[in-house]
Amino acid sequence: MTARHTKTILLLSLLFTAISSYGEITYNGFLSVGGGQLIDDDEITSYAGFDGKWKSDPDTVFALQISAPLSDKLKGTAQFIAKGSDSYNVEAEWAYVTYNISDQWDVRAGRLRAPLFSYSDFLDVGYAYPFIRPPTEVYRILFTTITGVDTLYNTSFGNWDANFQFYYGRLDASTFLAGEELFFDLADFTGVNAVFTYDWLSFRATYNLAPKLTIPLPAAARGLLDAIAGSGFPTVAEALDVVDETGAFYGVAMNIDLHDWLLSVEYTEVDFEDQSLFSDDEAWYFLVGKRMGDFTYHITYEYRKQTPDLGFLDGFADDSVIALLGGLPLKPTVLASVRQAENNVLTFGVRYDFTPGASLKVEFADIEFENLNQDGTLISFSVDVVF
Amino acid sequence: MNKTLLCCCMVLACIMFTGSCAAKTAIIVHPGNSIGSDRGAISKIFLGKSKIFSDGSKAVSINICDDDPLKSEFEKKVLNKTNAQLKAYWSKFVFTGKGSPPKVTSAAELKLTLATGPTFIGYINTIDLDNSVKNLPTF
Repeated sequence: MTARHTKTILLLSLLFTAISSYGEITYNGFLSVGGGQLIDDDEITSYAGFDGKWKSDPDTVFALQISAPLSDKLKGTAQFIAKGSDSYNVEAEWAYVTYNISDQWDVRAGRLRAPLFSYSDFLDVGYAYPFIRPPTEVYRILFTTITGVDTLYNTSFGNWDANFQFYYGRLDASTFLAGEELFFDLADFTGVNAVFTYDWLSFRATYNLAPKLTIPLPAAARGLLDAIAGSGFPTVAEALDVVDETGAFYGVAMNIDLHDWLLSVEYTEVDFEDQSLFSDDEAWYFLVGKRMGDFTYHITYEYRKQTPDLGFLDGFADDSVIALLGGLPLKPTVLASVRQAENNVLTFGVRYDFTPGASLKVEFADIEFENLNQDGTLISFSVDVVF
Repeated sequence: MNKTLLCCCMVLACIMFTGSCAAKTAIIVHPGNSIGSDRGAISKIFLGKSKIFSDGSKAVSINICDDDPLKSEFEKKVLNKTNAQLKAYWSKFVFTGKGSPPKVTSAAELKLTLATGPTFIGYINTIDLDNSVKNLPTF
């Protein structure tokens, strides 16, 4: 936890306590303790944070949420979360004020999560869904917390309820890649999300746009691009660089929960206006589940494909070489550098609701990286609690 | 195979035990409230999907404690969900500030709250019914 975070948390806590005189403060929390291991790791050596040795951190999460009414129209909410995947640093992933315009209309401002996926709202709340973690291949965009505003509108048409959400904000986050900390900064990140629900059936659609995607590259990638540019292919280096890219994300989903049968389908796509080191990407999953008393069994199939568009290489001869890298062939080197994948995962899982507010899950997942011809098997469990 | 057998036994045991303690639940409102007793509409209010009664006036649902057998009967018959399903349902809203489950109170307190005005809706054991509240005959 950095000093800045500690200060933010202290300030928020103090603020909420100080203004608590208006109404009752509510505390809610959730925690997940998980564990898993790749049991045949000779081909796929790591997946979803797990590797060949038993590990607990990737699926372990603790969170506490404080919510306090500030006036009859205004409410403050902050959620502090410590994730094993982030060395248990305490982060305020949600910290916002809600202004209640009417029974149907809310406006929120602060730190919020962009609703890219069906489960974005409760991404870390393991208790809310049947699987241990949302499908890794589909829930592949890890940074979705924005600082900005959104508005929520609820209405109904006959027996259908409709929820609309629109947001605008800025996403800044950092991640470690090849041992280097990289900072993402996406300004003008915006999107819309609509959910239609009829008792046991719901549909969802979302569209999101990041018009100014710039990512400072890790040293190794920067070195490669410099070598390509210096060897007489500046346009290729320019194309690969991630500067002012425009990326769109869209998704559709359907959920059915009828007579103890569950069906979930979610399809998502990432489209870049131009190819860079990032490639267009589509991913989907479906889940079929059956609730039997306190047990819920499910089979989930996920699929993801990244498709690089190497049109910017068309004007160059097939035998072009990168002179500054000892004569490495240009086209195969570029192809190996851009993002490409074709992965599928088949999961069998069971959830046991052993006491109100707590569940135990066990999963067995068969992972296949088709383009690399690699296989792996992940076994994992989790205990998920809400309070 | 043994695991499947074990699961079946546990499910059977659950059904046998819950069947033996059937409580009589009465959905209640203020005597001045003239709403109908449509199960779907009542269920929407308790699930936070609707904040108004069928006549358009404001509706606030009130729940009773987790360990009261009335609660599980109400949840099963009116909301058509188990306690675990409802906990999972509410956890999808609570942690986004998009909604919160009904406030919890005791049967005695519930009757006092209901007496204050037609905004509230709750449920009690039929033996606790009296003139201070109106019973909506749903089941």
